[in-house]
Amino acid sequence: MTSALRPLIVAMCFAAPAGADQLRWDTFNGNLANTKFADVDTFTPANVAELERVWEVHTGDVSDGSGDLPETVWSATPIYANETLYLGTPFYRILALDPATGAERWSYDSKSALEALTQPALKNRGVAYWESGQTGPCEKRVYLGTMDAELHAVDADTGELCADFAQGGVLNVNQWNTVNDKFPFSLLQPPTVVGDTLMLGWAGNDWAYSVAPPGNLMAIDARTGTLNWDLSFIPDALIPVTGTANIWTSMSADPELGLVYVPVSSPSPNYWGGNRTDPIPLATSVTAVDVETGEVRWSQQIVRHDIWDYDTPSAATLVDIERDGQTIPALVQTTKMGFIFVLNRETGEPIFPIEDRPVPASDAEGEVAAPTQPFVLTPPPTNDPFKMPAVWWLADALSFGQCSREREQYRYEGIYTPPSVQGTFLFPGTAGANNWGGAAVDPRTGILYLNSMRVVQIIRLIPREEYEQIDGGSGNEAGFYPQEGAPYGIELREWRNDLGLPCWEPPYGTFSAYDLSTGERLYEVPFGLSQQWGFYGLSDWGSPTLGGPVVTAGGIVFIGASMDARVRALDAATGAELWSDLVEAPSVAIPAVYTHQGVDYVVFVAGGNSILKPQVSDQVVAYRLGQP
Amino acid sequence: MMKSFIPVIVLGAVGCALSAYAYLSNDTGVAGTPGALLALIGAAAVTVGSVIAALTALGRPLFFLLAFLIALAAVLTALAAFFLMQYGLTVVMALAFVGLLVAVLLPAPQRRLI
Repeated sequence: MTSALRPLIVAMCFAAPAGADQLRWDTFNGNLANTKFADVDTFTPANVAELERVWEVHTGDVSDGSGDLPETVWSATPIYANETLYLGTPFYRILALDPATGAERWSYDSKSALEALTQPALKNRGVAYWESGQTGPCEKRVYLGTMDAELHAVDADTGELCADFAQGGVLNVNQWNTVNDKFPFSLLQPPTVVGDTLMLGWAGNDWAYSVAPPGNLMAIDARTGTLNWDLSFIPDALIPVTGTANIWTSMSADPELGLVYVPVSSPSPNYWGGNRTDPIPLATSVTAVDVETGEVRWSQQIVRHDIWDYDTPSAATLVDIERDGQTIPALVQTTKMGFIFVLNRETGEPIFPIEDRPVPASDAEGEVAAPTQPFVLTPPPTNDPFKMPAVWWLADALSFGQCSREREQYRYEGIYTPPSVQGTFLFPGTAGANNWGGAAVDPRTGILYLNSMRVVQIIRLIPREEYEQIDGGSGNEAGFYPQEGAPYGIELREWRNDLGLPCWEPPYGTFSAYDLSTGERLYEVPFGLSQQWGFYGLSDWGSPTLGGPVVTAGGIVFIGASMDARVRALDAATGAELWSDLVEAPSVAIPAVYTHQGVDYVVFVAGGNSILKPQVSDQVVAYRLGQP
Repeated sequence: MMKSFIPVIVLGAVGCALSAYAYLSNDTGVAGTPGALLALIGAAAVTVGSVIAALTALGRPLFFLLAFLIALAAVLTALAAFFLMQYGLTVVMALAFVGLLVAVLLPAPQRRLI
């Protein structure tokens, strides 16, 4: 194929609307390339302040954890397809809504047990959509996963189960959980639909056990539920002593190359690796897998011997970039570490250099930390890998020097300082600089847009005997974790003083734009408002974020993600805030932008996540420009 | 009764209503938070303090001490409301502070109507 034609074909495959003026948003990331690019120019910096809330819906599927049910964490991307808006809920139901009014067309209840089997909360990131191209019942389907490892397939028009899929429309994915089956395969992330294949990973609680189910990617026939192939990321010889390296987040795919790009997480347990000192090259990696055969085409490990839970957190973003007069099929992998890996998606070769740099050794019993790690300094990382943020004078003064004393007390020698009994600063924290929201990219310009957070945590290895005496519990990315089978449990907490103030200086979150052709950062601005006890921080302080951005052809970035429960429109050229609206909980999700009956909408789910703050909701809110 | 305190009492009561709304309503962004509760307590303190100052014949030292505490409550509540992004409450508490200054600084014969 000529380089001149390639961008056009890629744009058609990845970012193109189904019809001339009917923009679909039919995957978790808007499209298979994970560009999160909406090809609509209706919203512009000049008019976006006129956005109006046109409808809102409360699903009723919410829990703050104070009653019999665990709290909910809701991060569903609304799926617009089949002229309907589909949502999965944390009570494992599907709602089909009228995209223009929010009126319910049908709902489906999986009747899944509402128990936090593998996670500290009832979590859901939505549903997946597939259509065969033929007409008739179940030729268009919506798929919903559950915490207890069931995948439900229902007719997209009626909500009735599709009887030809697995057992009466329900696939028991746990039938393949046969090795080290300490917990069920929780299906919190909807499958990624590539052609007629459902690419499926799962989530577990790998912080709890050393020996755990080995992570795998399952390719499932979208019509029948048959397992076409599966691929494990743990070498056979190590399966008796470790596990996971699972895929808990979304994936991207290039149908033209026949590849799915798989973000693989860390092996178990998360924070000590004495049981797995032999190489596990596919763990904590981005790996290209043949859609038809399950063969690994190439893999780039982004952390060696991961003992920080720096899972590859999001689908890679696929975009063609121009460099030195050539069009390069690129893949951009954002990471928890803040490094932005830019690779050739055909070959896996780096487009910007990956440097092997020496990193500190571990002093923990049995641990052998990797002597070097891959660093990517172009594009500039979202978080400084060499220096953690300084002590914040205000928090230090109000705590009479507590923050300064702790800065001296705990170990920090750069990003890959190993966990220790002494206590180690973890920066970025285990939720990462970037998480599952990933980045957005405008394929016309090759400019990447990315929200990131700057949170410092303290991780402490606790010798087993001491750990057994502790009466603590694990929370959402914080608390005590047993790591059964390891000589250590761990305690993980944010670095705050006794008043609850962050000990590190702001900003706590930023929004950035990068030119992928040059690797240059175009801007970096504080993003969102942090909040403590209800009080908002200053705008310069920014906010930690969970959830991702969407960029539109009109030069607008739509994003929720911040702690302050606002949804925002930013000027893509500068990152300046142009519009915001208060919703009922942080919108820890990726918004959907779609065109329905000639009108462009942006829809946010406001579900909340206790990683940011204890505020949950079941709200869905839709906006459009006012009537002319 | 010191009628000059009536505006402060009214503003304090309005502040109570605004802060109660902020604490209880889902569309304020601060519902159920300790900060909003603190603002409610602050506005209530301004109201109750002003009522006591208006209705009770206090000696000069006690009167000025009470006025100082009401002023402090108004300023801190205004500050809290600012950081809660409850700007209406900020304005009301600022006005209450000004009203308090007027009530205290007015000549004594006009202050003591009873």
